Amino acid sequence: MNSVERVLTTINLKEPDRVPLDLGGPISGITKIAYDGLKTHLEMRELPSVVWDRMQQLVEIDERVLQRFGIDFRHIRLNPPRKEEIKEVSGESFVNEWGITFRRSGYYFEIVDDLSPLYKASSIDDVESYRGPKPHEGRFGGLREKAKKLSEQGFAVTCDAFTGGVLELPVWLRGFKKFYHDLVANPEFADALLDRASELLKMFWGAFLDEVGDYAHIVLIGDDYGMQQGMLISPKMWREKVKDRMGELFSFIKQKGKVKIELHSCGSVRPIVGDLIEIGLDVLNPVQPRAKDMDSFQLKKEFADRICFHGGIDIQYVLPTGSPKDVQDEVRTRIQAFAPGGGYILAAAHNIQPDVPPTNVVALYDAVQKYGMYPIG
Amino acid sequence: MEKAVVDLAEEEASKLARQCVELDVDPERMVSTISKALKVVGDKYEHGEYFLPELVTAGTMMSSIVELVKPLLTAKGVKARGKVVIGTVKNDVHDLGKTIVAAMLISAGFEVVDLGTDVDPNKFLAAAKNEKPEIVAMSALLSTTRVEMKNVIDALERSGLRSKVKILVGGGAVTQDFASKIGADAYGEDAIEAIRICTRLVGDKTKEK
Repeated sequence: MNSVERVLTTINLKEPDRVPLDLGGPISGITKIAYDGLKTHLEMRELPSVVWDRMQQLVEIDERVLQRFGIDFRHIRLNPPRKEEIKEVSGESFVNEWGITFRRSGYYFEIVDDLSPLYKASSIDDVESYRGPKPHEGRFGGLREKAKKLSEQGFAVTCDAFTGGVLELPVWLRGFKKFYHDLVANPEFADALLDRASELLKMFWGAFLDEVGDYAHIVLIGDDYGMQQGMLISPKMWREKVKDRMGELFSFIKQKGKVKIELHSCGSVRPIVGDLIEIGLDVLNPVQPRAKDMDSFQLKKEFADRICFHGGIDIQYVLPTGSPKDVQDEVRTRIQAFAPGGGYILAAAHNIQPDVPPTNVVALYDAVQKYGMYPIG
Repeated sequence: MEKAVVDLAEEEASKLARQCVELDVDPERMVSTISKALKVVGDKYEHGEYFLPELVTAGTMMSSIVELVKPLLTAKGVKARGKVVIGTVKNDVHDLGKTIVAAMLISAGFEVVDLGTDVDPNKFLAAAKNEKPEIVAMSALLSTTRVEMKNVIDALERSGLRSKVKILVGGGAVTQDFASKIGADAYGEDAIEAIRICTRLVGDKTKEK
């Protein structure tokens, strides 16, 4: 089996030859410090470390590293915006193409809530007049050729998310506290902003898939609904405000290309997994193992014949603080939980952070040779 | 007013609060009403009826009522239940959880000194020295920043202030295990538990005295 066959077999809930592996993209990537450590450990120090995501400090992962671990996915993403679309406030702060302000905070860049572009918006007119960036051709140059080449090489090609989803983009445009307050106190305003965000997302995904839809296999959307102890918003509010809009986005994307949809949604999202399946979700990431009600065995038991899981390897404790043996045990546990019958793609439950030692990254991917060959023992 | 807050009826609650002030209602009675509302909101959160949008809204409402009542309490010479210095640790700017806890503590009758986010250990130390709080509360969302909590505790230890304050920790990256390991006095899983713990810790402090 080549990579794409392996990945599509497992997404179609059948057993491939081994558990497929992902590394790369905006939610299963690696931070610069961790990558530099890994390169040294692998005696590949000469490889470049180019940061492509300033907010999360993620780097391009060299083909040799991907090959070393047998990674089945290759990620393609929009080209960076034009220089004039980004406003550099200082080396420590910038405004991105959506008008969202980021400021350096220790290792990362974080969104500055009260400088959000719609923070001061007071009417639905203000929301409707928000223009946002344009999906101009500079964002797509060369992507079709790249997707074609990777697809022909037999890799599973994922189109990466370029901003938040139907719920998260409004949060970023309006500011976290303001938008959560709107959802309760000003629902019409919240609806207008959810609609505007959905329109913008469709416009971008449409243009993206017009370029690469023929060669892409997976579309990755990020939209956080959960936290450690439960959902951010109630399942009822999610069903009223997000479900249909997200469903429309999924259908729109599936009309644009023969792709599977992967959703990244951190934390505890158990109450809405059934709803996500209903609106056409194929792959759920990151099934965060320490979040409430996200027990891997229970999830598999309940949803095994309906959805593929992606991620799952504990990044909150085991990867940063465990030994390589602990990491191997963690991999074995997740594989035993999720992999039988297919429907599991292995990756860390989020980007590999600076505090994860390189020996644990190696242990993570190498353990698959031991525990991830089908039939699962 | 309790019902208006619990039902998240913002305009109604603010109208009633203003009326109470105009009618010279005892400010302590107003605080106790808000505290009761807070308890009900907390119960609803714990039972999965309310989530973050409702908590943010209730927190906003309660803060604005408390702002209205504060000068009246000061004029009457009413003492707070205790003082809490609170902040998100160095290199971490996640403030939602911390802000909700701060708003709820104020509503529950505590005096709160909010140091904000990305707070240097020295700033916690200075606040512990100058503000003389009963409790220092720290939040961290990231596994890479939770180590700062230990740095604050060590700094308090070195300056001889550790025994003078109780330490409460919380946030996404923190567990009871971690809290025990770094020598914190308590771990709060969410805002509601944090209020309960602060009440208990202030009680413990009073007994120690």
